[in-house]
Amino acid sequence: VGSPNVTNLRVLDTFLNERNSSDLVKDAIKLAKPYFFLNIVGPRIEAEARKVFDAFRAESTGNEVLHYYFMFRDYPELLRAEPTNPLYLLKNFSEDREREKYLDIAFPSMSIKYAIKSFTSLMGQAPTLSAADLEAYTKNEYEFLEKLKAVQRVKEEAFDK
Amino acid sequence: VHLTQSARSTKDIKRLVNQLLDQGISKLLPSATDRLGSKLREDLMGELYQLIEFVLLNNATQGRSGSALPPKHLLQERLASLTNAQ
Repeated sequence: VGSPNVTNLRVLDTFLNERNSSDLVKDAIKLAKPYFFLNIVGPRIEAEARKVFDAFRAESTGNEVLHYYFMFRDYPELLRAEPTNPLYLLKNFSEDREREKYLDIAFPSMSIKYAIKSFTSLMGQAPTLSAADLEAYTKNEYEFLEKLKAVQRVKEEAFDK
Repeated sequence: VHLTQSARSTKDIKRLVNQLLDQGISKLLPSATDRLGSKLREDLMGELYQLIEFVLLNNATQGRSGSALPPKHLLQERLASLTNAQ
């Protein structure tokens, strides 16, 4: 059994032996043309265009990670950095985290700290906290609770007096 | 001079069919020199040959064109090539 392409051409060959072979094939091409363009050429060209587009997208993705590649190529010790090493911070650098940090500085009224502060003051039960207390809250919840208890104790003592 | 069936290679068959293509198809699928372009052209031409074959066989079976059907053994071979995955 020959390959599909070869047997296909062999069948066409029998029609080329006919007396009016050119008219036969021309008519067949005329009939096949609309289906060929609409259902075969169109989707195929679109698929090829998609391939090209994906190739460009891969390029742009490559550019996004290229600076990490250069960083680790030029500073390979970063890959071996441990949490105690200051270089570890550079290795675990997060753009999103940094952005949030600087947004808090630029727009303090939109920060989480401010939201907590305004919420607690709105409740009217928690004592007013200093910026240092809020900082401690974000750093260590346990320390904050201890301070809160201390403040509460001072207030109760003052009330008792 | 017409080639006889036995002397015709697949290349000759393609050349003869390509000579009958109209300008629309010829312009859309020019013979490309690069590998990707020639692969695309080859694939699309393969599809076109299959469509032409379908139309020719359909017309022959319905007696529209007045042409004779291909010999039975060739049709059986063609069917086998389509049903058996290579």
